Amino acid sequence: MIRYIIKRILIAIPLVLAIVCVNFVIIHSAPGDPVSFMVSGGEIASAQFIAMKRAELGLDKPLYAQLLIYIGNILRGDLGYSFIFNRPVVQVIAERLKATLLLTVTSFVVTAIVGILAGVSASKRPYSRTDAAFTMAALGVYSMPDFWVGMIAILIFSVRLKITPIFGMADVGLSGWEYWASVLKHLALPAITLGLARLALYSRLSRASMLEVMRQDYITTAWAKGCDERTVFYKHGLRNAMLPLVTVMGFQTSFLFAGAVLIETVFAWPGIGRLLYDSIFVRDYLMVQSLFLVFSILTIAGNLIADIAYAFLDPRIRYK
Amino acid sequence: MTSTNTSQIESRTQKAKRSLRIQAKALVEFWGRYRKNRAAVFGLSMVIAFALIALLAPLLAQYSPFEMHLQDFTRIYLSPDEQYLMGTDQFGRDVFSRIIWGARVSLFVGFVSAGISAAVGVSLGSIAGYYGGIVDNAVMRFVDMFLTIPQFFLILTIVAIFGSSLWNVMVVIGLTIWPSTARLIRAEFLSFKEKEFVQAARSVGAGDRHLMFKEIAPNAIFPAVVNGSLQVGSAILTESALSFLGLGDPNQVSWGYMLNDAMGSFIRAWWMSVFPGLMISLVVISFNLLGDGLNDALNPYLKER
Repeated sequence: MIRYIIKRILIAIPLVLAIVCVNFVIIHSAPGDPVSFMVSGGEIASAQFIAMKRAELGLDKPLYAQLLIYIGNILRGDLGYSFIFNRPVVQVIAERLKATLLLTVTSFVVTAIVGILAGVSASKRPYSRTDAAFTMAALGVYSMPDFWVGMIAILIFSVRLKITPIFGMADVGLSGWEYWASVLKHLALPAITLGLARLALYSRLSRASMLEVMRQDYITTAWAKGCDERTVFYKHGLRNAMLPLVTVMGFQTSFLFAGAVLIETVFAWPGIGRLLYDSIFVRDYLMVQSLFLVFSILTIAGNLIADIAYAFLDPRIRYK
Repeated sequence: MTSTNTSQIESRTQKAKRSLRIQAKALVEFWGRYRKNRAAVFGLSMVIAFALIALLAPLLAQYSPFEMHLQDFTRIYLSPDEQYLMGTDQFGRDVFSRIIWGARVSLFVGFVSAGISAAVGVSLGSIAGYYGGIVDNAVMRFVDMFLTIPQFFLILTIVAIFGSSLWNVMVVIGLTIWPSTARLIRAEFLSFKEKEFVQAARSVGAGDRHLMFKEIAPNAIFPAVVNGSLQVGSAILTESALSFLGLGDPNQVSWGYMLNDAMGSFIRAWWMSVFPGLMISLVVISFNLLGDGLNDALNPYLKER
């Protein structure tokens, strides 16, 4: 098990390196040279500064040396200096990261639990009329742009019904419990809209996976032993049906973060997704490209966590 | 001499006629299976309807989708009525006319992106599946590497840095989403190249090109057709998301861009957000239903299990 986890972590390293290289290629093929790329959007930087930056990046050196310098900078946590925010890029991103993680993790946990439970209960009565209706509804939800669903949700729940706040993460001037209560109120709508598409996907997938598992011989054995329905469905059925689901959840990480960018933009949620939108708006290319790197690493981390969760669920890997 | 020539020509036309009859019969059978799925028929008719709207946009739209009326305060933020069916936006433009013109951009992006993706995916997938060995390994490792980069962020970053013209958007989307097609086609080629009819053709001396194009491809292409239909939908969604984030072509009317316009004011003018999003959803649902229907109709054995 430990060996399996270590192996997974080791596999993730070249992936991160590959993404760093892709970033390097993007910067170097962008219009203008990397320095003009870095100061993009800001006021015109002094010639002295540009000359200094050129020397620092080793632009006079061969390309592979530049790549090594770039990788070295990233390993030291130096993503450059944003002239729009007037601060180091890493600082700006680190400050905003918590809000995005709060939104995505909450959304993920809620959709995973509700989706799986809905899927299991649908698998108990497959091909019924409700089941068919749910299938159609899932397809519909899956085809809608999530940012539009967010706008409609604001129109219904915030403007018409006035039960949720419209924008932001918390009301100002609160602390302690009151602050967190306010965050929770602000979090509900974006987290649910972000999760809706995946809720549709997970409920359909867990239904299909359960139908497959419940046909197996060991389920018949469990019924024959006289287990009650709960034990058969959840202990014998769901544990096995979870395996393909965990793999899909890992793949979905990148869509989860892509959705976060759009949802944060609609709800003015102060995370790195909204930061990406703002950076596009003011043409801070350095920030856009750094956020690409951060989101890619988050995606790889999500896949890694799914791999490890898989190992915990599957005793065939656990006892190896 | 002449008589044998004419008889040869005759037999050739007969052959062509016969193969045409077989194709027509296959098409009729295919349609017979397809129309059994009511949702799929709905999807197909919606796709045709959207295509007609896109083609006839200049006739259907009453107002210019671009012309602004900033000075005329009686024309901005009008709620839907008989004159402006879907209201007007903050620049006094008719939302209904923009919706109609927007169908063009959406369908265009969808088809071109899915077409690029199919071209790349089918060629790489068939080469990998047919030749196998080192070629297969190289292509598939590349695909695996490619898939670890989050697609949406790759598209977004490239479009943000290299410019967001319509062509850029379409090409970047197309060049990013092909791996799924390549995988499907590779799997088909791998299994078909061992089938008896391909082996038979090979044993009578058919070359690689004949085997790939004439023997395997006609059988292996169906998953790419189904996937292509689904990719049209997902390309439309991606384009609308990019435009929504401000990375659309400012010279085009796009539903996603309309939602971007609406962001500041949809709370006071609901029609600015409701209609464009509804259209995106409808188009994407239609292509997804079409894809599902094609899948069921092209794989009759799968269905009758």
